Amino acid sequence: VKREKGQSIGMLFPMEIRQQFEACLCYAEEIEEIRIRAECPVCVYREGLEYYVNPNKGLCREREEAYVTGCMEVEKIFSHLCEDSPYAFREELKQGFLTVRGGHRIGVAGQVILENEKVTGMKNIRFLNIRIAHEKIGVADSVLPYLFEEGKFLNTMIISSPRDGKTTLLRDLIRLLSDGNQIQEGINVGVVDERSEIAGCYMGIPQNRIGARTDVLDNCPKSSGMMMLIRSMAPKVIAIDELGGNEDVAALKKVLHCGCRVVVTIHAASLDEVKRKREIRELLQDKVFERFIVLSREEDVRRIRIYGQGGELLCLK
Amino acid sequence: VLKIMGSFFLLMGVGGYGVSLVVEYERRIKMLQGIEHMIAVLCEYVTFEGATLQEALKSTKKRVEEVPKEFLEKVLKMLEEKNGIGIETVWQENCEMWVPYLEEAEVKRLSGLFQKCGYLERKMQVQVFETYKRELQQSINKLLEQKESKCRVYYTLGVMSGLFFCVLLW
Repeated sequence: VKREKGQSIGMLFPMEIRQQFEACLCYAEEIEEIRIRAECPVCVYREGLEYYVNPNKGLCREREEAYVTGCMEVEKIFSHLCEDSPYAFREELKQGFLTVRGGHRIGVAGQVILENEKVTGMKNIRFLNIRIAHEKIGVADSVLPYLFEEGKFLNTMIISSPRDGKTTLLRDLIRLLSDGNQIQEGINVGVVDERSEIAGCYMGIPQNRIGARTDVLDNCPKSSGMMMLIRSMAPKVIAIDELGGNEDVAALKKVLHCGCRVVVTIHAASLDEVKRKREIRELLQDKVFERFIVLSREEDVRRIRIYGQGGELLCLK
Repeated sequence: VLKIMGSFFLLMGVGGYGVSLVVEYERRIKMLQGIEHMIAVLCEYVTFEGATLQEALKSTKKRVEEVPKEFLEKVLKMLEEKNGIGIETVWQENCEMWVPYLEEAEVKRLSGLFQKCGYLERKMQVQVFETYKRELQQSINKLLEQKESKCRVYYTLGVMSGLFFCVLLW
């Protein structure tokens, strides 16, 4: 598994640059992010700590020993990540990221192209943030019993700050619902994967294990995708990553009217922060969600808190 | 008897060379038409599906026949095996190895096609293919126009040279 992961990360780099990263790939399982900036040392985040890439040592803490990428190298990496077809990722690039084979998400920054004050693209790409997809089978096992009542799956919201594992938890939850678990047999699950992060589809085929009864609308805006799935695939549960704007909330309400259950994730550090979000407040007032899972990191220890519909703490792990 | 047999084989051999030139000429036209079709399909996938070049090549492979199909299979296999090498390098290497019947200039033009790829704008990318397709069409039209006269020349020259050698032999 470790070697596969290493290979998957290695393949993100073009051949002539790959050897610079080869030594650090032995830490593939623990690498969370690789940050590449033109004329700057390459940084790697591993288990919450920052390291530099060193072609001989793998990872090091000394800046002087770090591998520095030039503008051309950043461009080559970007071109390789786009499979030499940046036009195919134009819409994603407008949002500043793209998802590549293996489900890894690449954040991109550079010079923005504006047209009538709207972002139409990006040029001179000089900054890349490679977020390594971590599929962790079994992370949802411990929370699953709290998400059912009388054998019925409850509408669930997963809350966490970036990089605290909400997408990983959502993915495993989807797998357990779709394949079946100790509480319920497998059910049809629909996934609107706007950023290809959940299923990590490559040419339409999920690269991550998301269950045998899961249908994926890849690269589709959440607001339109939810109803498309209801009409076309009749899922019992719909899963959405990073619920955000008013359009998403309006679409979610429609889905709930159709009798479908939902599991969503949202960016926030706590339940209180979610309550302060204007778009979400109405959903909370209507008591749409019956379970809230809050993921956090306290002194490098991962914590999971599960709250009930009224905000009462049901479990702390 | 030996002279007669020698003349017969000489006539067949040199005449056959003329025929082989005609066959090669026809194959060249067929090859160019196959490439034109391949580029048209590739263009479709890029335009309507917004597919990456690799995805478009994979889909195109299913819709083309014979030599272009084999060629695309080789390109895709190499892309998979040598992940990390640019598509333009793989394309060029395979063009030089696996595209038969074409003249050197035609192979050069085809092998350089992917060096003009990697545009942010889909229209620009498609334009590169469209331009190449137009050039191909012009070449095919020219070859088709000249086909009759050229084939006649090849046949005649073949037979006449055969006869000439026969006369020399006698």
